[in-house]
Amino acid sequence: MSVRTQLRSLGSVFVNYVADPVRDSPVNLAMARLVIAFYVVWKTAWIDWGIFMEVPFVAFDEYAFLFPTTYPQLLVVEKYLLLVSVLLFAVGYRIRLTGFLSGLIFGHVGLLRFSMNGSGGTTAIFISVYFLFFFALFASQDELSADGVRRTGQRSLDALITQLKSTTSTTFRADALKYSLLALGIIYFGSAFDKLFPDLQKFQPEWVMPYNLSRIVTTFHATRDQLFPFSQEVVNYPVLVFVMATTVLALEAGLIVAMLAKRSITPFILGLAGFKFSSIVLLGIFFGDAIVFFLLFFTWDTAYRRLVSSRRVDVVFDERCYFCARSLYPFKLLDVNDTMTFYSQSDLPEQYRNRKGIDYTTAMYLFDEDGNAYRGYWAFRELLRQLRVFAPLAWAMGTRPVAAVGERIYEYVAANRSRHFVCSVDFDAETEL
Amino acid sequence: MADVVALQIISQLRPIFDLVVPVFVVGFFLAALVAIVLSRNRTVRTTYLAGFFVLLLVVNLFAPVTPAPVIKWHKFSEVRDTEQTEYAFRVVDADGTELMYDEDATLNTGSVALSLVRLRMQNEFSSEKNAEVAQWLLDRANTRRTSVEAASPARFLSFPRHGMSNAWTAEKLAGYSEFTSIRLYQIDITTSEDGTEVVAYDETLLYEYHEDRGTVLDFSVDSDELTESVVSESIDSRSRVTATGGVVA
Repeated sequence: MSVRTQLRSLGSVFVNYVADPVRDSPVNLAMARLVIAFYVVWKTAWIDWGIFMEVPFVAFDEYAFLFPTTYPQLLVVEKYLLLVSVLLFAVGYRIRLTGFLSGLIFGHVGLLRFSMNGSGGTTAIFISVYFLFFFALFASQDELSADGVRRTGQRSLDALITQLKSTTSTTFRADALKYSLLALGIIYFGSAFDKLFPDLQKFQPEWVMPYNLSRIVTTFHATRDQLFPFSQEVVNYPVLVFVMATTVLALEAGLIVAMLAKRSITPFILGLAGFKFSSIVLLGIFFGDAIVFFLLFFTWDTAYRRLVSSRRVDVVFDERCYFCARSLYPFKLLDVNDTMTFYSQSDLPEQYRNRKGIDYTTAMYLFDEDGNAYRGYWAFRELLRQLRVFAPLAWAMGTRPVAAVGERIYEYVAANRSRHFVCSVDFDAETEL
Repeated sequence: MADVVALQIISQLRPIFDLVVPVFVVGFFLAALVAIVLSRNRTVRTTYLAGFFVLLLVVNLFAPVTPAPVIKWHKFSEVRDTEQTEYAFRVVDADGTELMYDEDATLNTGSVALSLVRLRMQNEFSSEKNAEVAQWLLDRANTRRTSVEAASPARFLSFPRHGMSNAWTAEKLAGYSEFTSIRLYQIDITTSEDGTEVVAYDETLLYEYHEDRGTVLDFSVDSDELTESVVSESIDSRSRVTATGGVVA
């Protein structure tokens, strides 16, 4: 790989969705959904509303109407409702509903916290609420999700089989991430703008002068117990302080400029992340929330592509089985390197025909590069192994007790799929599905 | 004179202001609900997004306050003068030794901004209310102390705190006896012109509360002067506090 190519690949560590919201896999959108759900759980799970309600006043009493003072226990119910809702959102179940519900309840949590503290750690909650709403707004684009699997039920068996066997690349839009990134860009631009034009009252270029940041640092260190007392030394290097101030402005204002100019946002995201860490050292303030938000725009698909096994496998499934085709659909989406080739009885390669002891109508089969055949439960396990992110699950499936139960479940489902699921399909009536 | 007129107008419009926030909050979520329910309609989706981003842009460029849930991250925007005033709550043990109050002691997750606590105590609350708030701060300090000293491994699982200065550790707390008082100081600090050093530092004890003796020192502000300053300082400070994310101590 040439140096230029390597630099280009480093430059796209974070994706500029505003410039182009289309990816060749649905992995990024699914991972972003997981990241935001994880953030909501992390910010919510530890809240003790009993302690919160003991505060003897409401700091911003404009928001006091949001306090359920008569039934404070509702907050506990609300908390667990939020956790359930956001976990369903994480797996992509009814994203339109769970995205909105999570946003609504988390917004309420944010407003209650805001009524006591308007710091960045609280206002960040609202930014994630915007993200949740964008996910709900563009729920239909989220293919690698429970909703995506549910939607396969609206497609014909023929369409599903065609998609499984297709070798042409598919594209996936991620408008939720496009608008989430744009919102973040506006917020950072506003941050830079206000430093130079505070409340639009005047132009204050002196904000970047070394004495300004130095006064902040010196005052902080004189009035607070700081984590890193040595960091005050930075004020003795005015050129460095000036460079830091101008860099902050350039990063905050430049993020949206890079988005709109269709340039790489990676330098800005990395720079802003570095700025978050420097504010811990200098001022003892940490915007951990922003670091989580940046992860939404990480190229998870590229990292994932490098992770997936390069081993080629052939999967043979029953082409009359609608349930089987639907079950394989997520694997097709996750097979970003096209290492899985799907076959059914009608286009079975010669080497797989008439193999002794193999009946393709009773179970799915997987053949690896060495020609080893894996049946049913073990074929599913090999598919999970292939994707590597599920390696712990694949390992567990290989243990004797899990395998004993798993095989029985597979055989039961395979034998009774017509009874429990829409499965055996008459090709003549297929279009009615 | 203009300020007085403005204050009178604000005072008269207060009932309307009281409605503005609930209407805005409900409207924000209602608009999202409508847009999401009708999201298959491209016009609805586009209209919602256009409205949302115009609002976000206006708030981030022009709004003097933060109308949550629409927010801005205006941090450290104010150019600092050489003379600054900070406020600091300190907890005092039975031996009279002071310790900077850990803001995160106020709640188990996040915190109540001490800048706002100070603002309300100094400008709005009665002496009785101040004593109640001070006792609450003291109770929370003791609870926090117990929690820090217990050093539960679960503390590593919670979301990282926002303000990391003044954080209590078991080592830091080891030298202190039982917490008995809360003090609030005003710190007037003057830095050199280039900001590299402190050239003047003055602490004034504004308020002290002892758990047994009650209020030891109350705010000594003239009541007429206080009435005039409450509204303006309250509005100004709220804007300042939300804009700077707790820069004012």
